[in-house]
Amino acid sequence: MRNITLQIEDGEFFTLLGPSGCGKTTLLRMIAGFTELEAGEIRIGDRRIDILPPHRRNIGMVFQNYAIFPNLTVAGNIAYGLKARKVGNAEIATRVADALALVRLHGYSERWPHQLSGGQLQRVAIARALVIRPEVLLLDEPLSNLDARLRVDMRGEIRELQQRLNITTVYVTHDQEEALAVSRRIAVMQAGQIEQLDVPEAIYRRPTSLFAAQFMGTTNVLTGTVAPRAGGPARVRVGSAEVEVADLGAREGETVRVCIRPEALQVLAAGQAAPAGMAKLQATIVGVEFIGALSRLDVELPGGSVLKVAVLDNPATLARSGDSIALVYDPARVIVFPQGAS
Amino acid sequence: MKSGPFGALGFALLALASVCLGSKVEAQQKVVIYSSNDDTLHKLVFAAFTKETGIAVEPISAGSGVVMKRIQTEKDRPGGDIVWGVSRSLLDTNKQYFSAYLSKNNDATPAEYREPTNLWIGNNLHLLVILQNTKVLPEDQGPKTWADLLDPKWKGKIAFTDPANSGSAYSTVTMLVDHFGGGDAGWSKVKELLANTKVLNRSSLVFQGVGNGEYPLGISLEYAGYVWAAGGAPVKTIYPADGTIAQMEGVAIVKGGPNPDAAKVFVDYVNRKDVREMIIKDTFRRPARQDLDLSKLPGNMPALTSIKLLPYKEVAWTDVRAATLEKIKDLVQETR
Repeated sequence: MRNITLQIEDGEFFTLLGPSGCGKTTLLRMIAGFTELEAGEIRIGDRRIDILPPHRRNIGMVFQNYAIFPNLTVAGNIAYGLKARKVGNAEIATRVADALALVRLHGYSERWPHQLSGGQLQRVAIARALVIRPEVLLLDEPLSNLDARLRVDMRGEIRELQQRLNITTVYVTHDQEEALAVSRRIAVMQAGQIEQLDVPEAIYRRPTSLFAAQFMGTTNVLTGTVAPRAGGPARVRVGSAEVEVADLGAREGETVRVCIRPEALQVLAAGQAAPAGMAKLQATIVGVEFIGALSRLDVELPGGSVLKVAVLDNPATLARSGDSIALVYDPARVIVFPQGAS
Repeated sequence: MKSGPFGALGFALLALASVCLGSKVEAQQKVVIYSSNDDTLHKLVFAAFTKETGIAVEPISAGSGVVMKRIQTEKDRPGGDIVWGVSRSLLDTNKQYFSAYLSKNNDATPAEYREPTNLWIGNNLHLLVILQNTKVLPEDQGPKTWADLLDPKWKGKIAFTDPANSGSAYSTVTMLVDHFGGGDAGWSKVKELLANTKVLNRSSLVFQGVGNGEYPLGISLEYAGYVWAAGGAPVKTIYPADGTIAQMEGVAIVKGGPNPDAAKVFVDYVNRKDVREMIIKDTFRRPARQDLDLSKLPGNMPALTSIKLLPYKEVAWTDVRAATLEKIKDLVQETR
């Protein structure tokens, strides 16, 4: 972990996103109080918490190593933290019922963990974190063990719950789609540092590093040389093709990495002229994968570079391997990085 | 569930490293414990310990690798008094950081679960077992041996923890390599077993998955079967008839720690007979000491003498761990 400075807003759904080993869980554990800081501070509002033990920080946690207790009922599990805080029985009963209602498990209080599905158990874990009325909620990859469909459903539930409670939430995940879907802001992390911190749209559309560009969704990365400016638009030579990009300043001869997302490339219908302001590329289709709403095309540029293109399904057009096509794109959607970028 | 004016979370925080925690003032009224045991065991034992002795416990809870690394880093100014819940191989390779103590429970603990010069003492024994959910898989249809798990009928039906994330899963795989003949023959059979497994990220998901019936079978540690059964789950713990291993976990006093007297009290406490009974009752951890009659205690766990135990080359497999984990990773990929 290197120098990190962060400010998370009141009621914000803030996500730490990155691959395994990037430090996101370590950072979360520092907020929780399970991992020490070497220097620096953590505050909730004006209140310094890094000097407090975990149970005095008023933070609710849904952590991977804090599993549901299989030998307590659902109510017993949720009440666990309240009992530790010496809350009276009548109040415990009310608060447990409220917490169950929040996660839509009303009526489940006397069930045993073995009677619940994985998704329901995860909701119990969330209820257990919320019942102590924390100021901040921390979740460490809460959905990673659920199947894909359930993950999508539950992330929506978590998001909706967070908005309803307006509780400041820090969420850790390695799943970029999940982060994009639920977060107000994301901190993309790599090797103990924050690479980029912004709202999802900004990170996806204007990544500030090659790492962020490749980590979020899919992108094409071409290596080329900046062509001499000849009064026209800026271009990068990739093989024997020339890719038009937004203005690069005077960088002729420099080797660069050009990123363009598959959905930014559109296939021009035969005979159609390129719309104003759009750049054009000739290519040959070398592969087609029809997956319903989308078709993924592999297309080869002159000189051999291959691009991935994603097109929405259109029954009127038929893309076939071997076809020559024209691609159009908005040069403003191309991101260019220096060759040594990571 | 309000999040009022103090909800904004601002922080400027910096690098992670170990921090010295010792306090000279209340020196003997607290004990700092670096532990890789799980939360349920901590909550049970620490509360009871403090209640009886008046010594407060300051726990630092992390995986065993992290715990040992911290002790190594702090060697010139140790912040911890006790290390608890780490494996024999980790205890042995880090003996130089411990101070010898002849515990009151020494005689009750078999020599094989003690360091000869008293630098550490065994605390829990973890048997590697097969869990079966008897609601989704009738009891008599379950496997009886590790070899039975190779049957293709179990494909996708055995929950297993990723050995990259679990010491016991790593031990299971390596134990089976040797048990199935060693070398290529052993690995070939292990691959067949892996092909039948659903590999999950952490052990608690295996326990939970068998507990709630998502998987009929799981490869697990002994205590998990009993803990889930105690909560009413239809889980049976199978001790493979072709043998298994008992992995020892122990406790040691950190040399130069801030509260050495309190540390000794803890070592004596955590292996005391009545304390071990309390631990079994709530968490079903099998003790290293062999003088408890388990048939009279909750769970009715079988005596160690009744279980077929296999030899296990713990030191050798620990030495090649990194390379072996890579090999296992490849095999798991190939069998998805």
